[in-house]
Amino acid sequence: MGDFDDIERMVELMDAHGLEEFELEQWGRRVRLRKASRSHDRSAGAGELAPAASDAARTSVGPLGAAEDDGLVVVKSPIVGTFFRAPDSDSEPFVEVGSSVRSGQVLCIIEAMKLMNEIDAEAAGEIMSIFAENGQPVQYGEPLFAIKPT
Amino acid sequence: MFRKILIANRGEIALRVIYACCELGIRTVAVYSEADEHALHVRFADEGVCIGPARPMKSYLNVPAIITAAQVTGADGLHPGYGFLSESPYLAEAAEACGITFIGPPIEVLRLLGDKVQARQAMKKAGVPVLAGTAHPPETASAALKAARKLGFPLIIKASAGGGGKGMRIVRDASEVEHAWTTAQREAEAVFGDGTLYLETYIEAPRHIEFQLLADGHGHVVHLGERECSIQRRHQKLVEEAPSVALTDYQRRTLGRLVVGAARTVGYQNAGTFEFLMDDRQDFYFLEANTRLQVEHPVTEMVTGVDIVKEQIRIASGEPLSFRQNDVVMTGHAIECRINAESPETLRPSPGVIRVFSMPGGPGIRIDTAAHTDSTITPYYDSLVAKLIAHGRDRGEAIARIQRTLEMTVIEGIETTVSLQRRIVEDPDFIAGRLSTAFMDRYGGS
Repeated sequence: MGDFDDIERMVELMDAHGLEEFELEQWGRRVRLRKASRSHDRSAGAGELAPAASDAARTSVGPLGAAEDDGLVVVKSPIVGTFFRAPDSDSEPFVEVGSSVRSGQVLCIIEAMKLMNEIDAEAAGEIMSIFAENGQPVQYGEPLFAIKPT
Repeated sequence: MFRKILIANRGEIALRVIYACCELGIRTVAVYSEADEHALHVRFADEGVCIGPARPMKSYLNVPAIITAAQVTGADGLHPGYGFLSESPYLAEAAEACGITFIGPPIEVLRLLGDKVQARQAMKKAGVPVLAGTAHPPETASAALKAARKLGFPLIIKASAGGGGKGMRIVRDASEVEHAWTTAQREAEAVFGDGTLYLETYIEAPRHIEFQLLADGHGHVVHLGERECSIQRRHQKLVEEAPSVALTDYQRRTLGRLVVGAARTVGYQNAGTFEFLMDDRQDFYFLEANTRLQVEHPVTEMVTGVDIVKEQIRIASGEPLSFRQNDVVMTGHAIECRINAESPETLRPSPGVIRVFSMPGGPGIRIDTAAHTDSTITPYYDSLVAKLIAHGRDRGEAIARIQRTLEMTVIEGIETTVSLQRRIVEDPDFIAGRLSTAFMDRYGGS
């Protein structure tokens, strides 16, 4: 059995028993898994994509899952590109955590091939989380914002 | 040499490019759709970028998404694989505009040879025999009928932007022309967005013979001999082999020289394939040029020992070819069977989860695949599950090896063409090398 399968089974066990943290030492190998909490930023540092995106998606029970469970609207990136929170480097961010937004209001810009794509709020409400860092590359389907609808 | 190559493809060919990059010490970026999140090419590339949803138009055919993925990951090379955008001048142009090297021929060559009407004319000018046909595409069905009467029957209607049998119709007499022309035009417009058609003499039951080329940026052009791909159903190749039993050494040298000359004339660079039809009088006619890596490239690799994908990467990085025509020696014989997720009778796609996947190895066997037990064949992309390639000292040994491998292949959970492939490689005509594009007619459904 490969490492990935092992880790996947561990995650399943964690889910089944409601564990937040799990550590296993066996045959000279140590694996420690900790579930991402809601406030935990799952994104990687700026200038780097989340390592092996598929793994993150597979084992992540973090912000996205939690957000959707809470009835929050998660705005996901519709394209691959670079995430910008403000229209330019001198301006204030479009929104902050706690901002109230109208449906259709611009939340951020994703630059792809020198084109600035404005990403709109899918629902009116309050911004609960911002998942990506300014200037960070984002991939298709990556969560950007969580909105608590009003 | 490249530092990081983005592979704008999926499945076994994406893995094939990853193998080459690993061996050359180049880092890799996989792009993938949501449907391929757990695919092996994503797992084994150094980085992965999700570029869109399952539908190819939004992911693997999405040029801005692919180029952006290359930019954000800092890739300096882009390998397009086969299919999808592999022959797209638009992708090559976008890559180059962003300072990313497209691993393929120059943009002008992609444009010239991608237009079948122009390619035909260019080959004719270079002294390559082409079939009698219309030099200028007729614009209306009635103009086509007039041209058809002049050329004589049977004829084939083809789409200028074509490929894969789309927008293609065979007409055997004048009464069929107008209807066939109109439907082919509609099909070509729908599939390629270009309804330009042309007419060509139709050869009954020819052999399909193609030459593999490598050309560097320093004026060196070599061919790696031919492949025979006559076993086809609905213009889709099922079994390929190298060399062809139908060619003498003299013909191989003569045709090889002609192809190398034509490649030089059009300014070809990187890997490419020139396809020909051979009629029963052993005359050859240019069919089309494929400006990319072919699915069946492994049979050539097995008999020549040349790693075509590594050569593509070396050429694109500006290195000269490390060998000359005289260094190319064919050793033994290689046969490839394409195992597709299809019903062996109807060839209807059979997507699903592969419950058991086991293919034996042993001497002379190579398997190029992205499938494994518990992997999923999605309905969104082509149905290729695995390429089984057998190499032997001679054709007989290669056949024996491919027969025993097919016999011991176990794929459960989906329907595959394994049983059909077994019937083909056990067919007395196949064993005797009596091949033509009409070979599959005996199995019906062609």
